[in-house]
Amino acid sequence: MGKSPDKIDLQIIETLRLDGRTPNKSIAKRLNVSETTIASRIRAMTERNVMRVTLQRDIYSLGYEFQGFLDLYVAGRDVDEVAREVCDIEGVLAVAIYLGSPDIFVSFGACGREDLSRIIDDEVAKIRGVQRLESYVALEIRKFQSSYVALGKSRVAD
Amino acid sequence: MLRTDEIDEQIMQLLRDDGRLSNREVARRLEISEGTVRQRLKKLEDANAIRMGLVVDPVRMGIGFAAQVMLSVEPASLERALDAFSKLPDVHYVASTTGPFNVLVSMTAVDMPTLGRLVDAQVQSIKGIHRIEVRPMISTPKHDYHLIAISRKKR
Repeated sequence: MGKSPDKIDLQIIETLRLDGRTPNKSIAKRLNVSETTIASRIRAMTERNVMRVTLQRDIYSLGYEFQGFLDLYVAGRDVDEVAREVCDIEGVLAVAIYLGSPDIFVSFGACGREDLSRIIDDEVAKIRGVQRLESYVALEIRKFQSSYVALGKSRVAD
Repeated sequence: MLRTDEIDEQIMQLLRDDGRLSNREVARRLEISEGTVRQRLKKLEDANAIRMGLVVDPVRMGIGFAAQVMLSVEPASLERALDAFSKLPDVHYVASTTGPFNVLVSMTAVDMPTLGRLVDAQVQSIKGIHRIEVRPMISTPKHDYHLIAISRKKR
């Protein structure tokens, strides 16, 4: 796993949390260390998958009309295997394995009703091992930040 | 849906791969002016289409527990519940939903007891929460962190 972030690393993270685009020069000034230190710390943390500054896009601006969720109950097949198949479905934003039942949580974005039925009926429901599923949709999203992610382990669609 | 052109997409792709690239570097790679990069980004940010986010690995920060918390809240208390949970820094997702539960909260904590105490404190102060189910997550095979929802209420 490598070493944990030290005090300077944590201060850099706090600064970037407020504004991910803060120039190295300003961070250096604030923390009273050299600009090269900041640059190399950020590079090292990014390479070690501790953190990453990235452009994030709003789902509504991308044309998704709503966000939905599925609780999957798996039988007769390995849960991880089923989860891997779910990951490949277009529109699936996140897949998590639960401790206990339901077995799998799925979050997805849909561009209308047809797309919703494609994801649920045509794709997820047809995966071998999905015995039962429950679906629900978000009505009002009050907060949606992807700020904590298992970097390097979790897959990201390109 | 926001209309973007090829240049917008190219700028966004570069910053998606490395959010620390300076406007100058983005401009150099795309052979456009730094001012164009700055204007395009400002336009996208003003339209609430993008955000330059920081993504952190929870395990490296000593955060060992992640769960979805499902709540069944009385209609009269719904607004209060959405508000209270979204104010917590360890909460990353809050929405009202259809289904047997009507609020979905995604949150993290150093460990399970800490998360339990956090949820309890909210439930005590909000009133009107009838049912709570905490569903611990063992792993996250997929999390497309390039997608978020930017609140339209704030600005």
